[in-house]
Amino acid sequence: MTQKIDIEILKNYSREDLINLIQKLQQDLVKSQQNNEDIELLLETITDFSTGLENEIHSRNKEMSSYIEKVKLVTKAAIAVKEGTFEENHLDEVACRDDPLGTLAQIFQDMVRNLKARETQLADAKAQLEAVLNAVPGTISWISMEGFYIGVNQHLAKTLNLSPENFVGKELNFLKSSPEFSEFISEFIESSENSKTAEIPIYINGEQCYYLIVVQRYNDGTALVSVGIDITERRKAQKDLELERNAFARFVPSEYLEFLGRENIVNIQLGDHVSREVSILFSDIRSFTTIAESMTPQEIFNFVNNYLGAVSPVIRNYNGFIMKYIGDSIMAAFPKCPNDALNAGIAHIDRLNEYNRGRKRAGYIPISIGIGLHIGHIMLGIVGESQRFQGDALSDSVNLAARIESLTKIYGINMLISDSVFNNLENPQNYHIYFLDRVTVKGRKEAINLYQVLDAEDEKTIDFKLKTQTEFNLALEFYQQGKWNQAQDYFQKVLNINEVDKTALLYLKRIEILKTTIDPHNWDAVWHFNHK
Amino acid sequence: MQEIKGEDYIVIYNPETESISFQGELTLGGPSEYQPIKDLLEQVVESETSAVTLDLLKLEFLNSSGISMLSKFMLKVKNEKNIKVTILGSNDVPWQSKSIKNFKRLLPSAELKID
Repeated sequence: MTQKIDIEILKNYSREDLINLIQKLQQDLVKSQQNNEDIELLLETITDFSTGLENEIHSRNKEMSSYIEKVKLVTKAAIAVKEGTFEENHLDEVACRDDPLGTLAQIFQDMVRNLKARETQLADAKAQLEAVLNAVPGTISWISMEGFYIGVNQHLAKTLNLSPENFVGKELNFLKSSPEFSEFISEFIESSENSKTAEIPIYINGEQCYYLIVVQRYNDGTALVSVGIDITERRKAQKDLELERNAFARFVPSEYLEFLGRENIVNIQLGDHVSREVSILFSDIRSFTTIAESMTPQEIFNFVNNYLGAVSPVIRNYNGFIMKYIGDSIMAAFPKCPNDALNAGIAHIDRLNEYNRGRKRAGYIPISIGIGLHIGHIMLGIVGESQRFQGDALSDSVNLAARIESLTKIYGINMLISDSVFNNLENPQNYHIYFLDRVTVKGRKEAINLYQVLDAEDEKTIDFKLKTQTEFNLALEFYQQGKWNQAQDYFQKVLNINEVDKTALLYLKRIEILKTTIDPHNWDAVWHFNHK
Repeated sequence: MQEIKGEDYIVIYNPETESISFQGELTLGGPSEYQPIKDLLEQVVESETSAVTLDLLKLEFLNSSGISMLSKFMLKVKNEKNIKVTILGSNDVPWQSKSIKNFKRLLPSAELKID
């Protein structure tokens, strides 16, 4: 580099020195300019080079940051999916890339598309199921094993004036509408059964309803579903039917149906019948028509019902049943044994005596009755026409029992039994039964023996009967042998002791007739009654 | 109002505010590519104005060639004109935080306004 030039020194320079100096300075300047150009060139070269490098780095950086932006988009999309706000086109600008990130975005879009489709399908299926469950005219509830509602269908909620959401997570009996239901469910949960059914009362709007509940486990037994159907109406109908049947039962006793081999009145058909051997009891109020004459129809009804109400229970007490009432008469059957019929007859009289004491106290005249017992085949069945039928016993035996009953009036006693009853009694020695007569009744050829049951008479009658026993038996013996006079003597002796002994009087009258009509040698000791 | 626009950048000259605004990314290849901008700068300098503002606030990136161009502009002003130059810059832009103060070294009269 050129030294600094001192101007004062230059004043002493010669012309030649100056020229030399200028020449040197010129050379220096050229050199310096050359240097300057070199440095500028160097700067240009380096700037060029670094510019290229910078631009490349910058563009790569840009590319990288745009890549990172796209990755951020995918991440954002993932968050959107989680939050349910994802739209398919969110990733369009990434999915169009022709690189692994683009492929990732495409896969992601596909996945989300599938997921959404499935979600929609699932929602559709759920909506469909809900629609079905809500259309079902029954209650449905899903219950956890801990005894809480998981959910209920519209119908159940509506029935209790709530919405289905009100039930979710609530305890079973949170409405206190049916402790029975909660109890049923907890029993079921504790049991190992897979399903269970019960009729359960539930209070709805203050009214007791009944639901048929079917409960079943699901989801591998981790929860249960309960389905209910309102059976309140059905139960009511059933109850009404039962009441109706009970009402019918008073007209047609259950023993009657049993007898016919029918379970209930509904099954009864006209013509149903059964034939069996039974003991028949026939009882009748004596001179009922005379008593009834002084009464109004209402009084007659009251009287008859009063009387029947007082005496009928004894029939049932001795295993019998009333086949029918005919006015004031009772026709009863005892299927088991004749002792039942006999005991019922004796109790019948006892009950009547009691009833009469009541009548006497109330100022009414006591009534007397007759009872006839007989054993025979009866045809028990339903008669009438299809719109109106009733039970009836059609049988000769029934007629005979009625005839026997009507004879009690003639002999002046309370109860008469036929030999069929007497011969079939168990332990007849336990009763006081005496032979009375051998007869045929009107309409029948076969002779039967008739017996008096003293147990059914009052004390006074029993007293007289025992006192006249010997005379009466002798009289009967003579009568049977056709020894009319002796027989008359002894019957008279009976009357001497008991002047109102109707049987003795009857025999005396009969012998008067026999004396003129029957040859004692042809006498078979059978009296033929020709009146009813 | 004059402007030069590239793919990633725009340079706007507003005579009223006497300002030249650089925006975007200047990644041009070399002096020849920078020539139009250089011409604009020189034209402004020649136009008898007494002050000019270089607004670099929105200039995100500037490569070496760009810096070279601006540096030469500073030298030219220093050597040839009596113009008041104001430079607006931002520390948020990486290249500016390092390089803007160098302009003042080239042109001590310049005023730097850096956010």
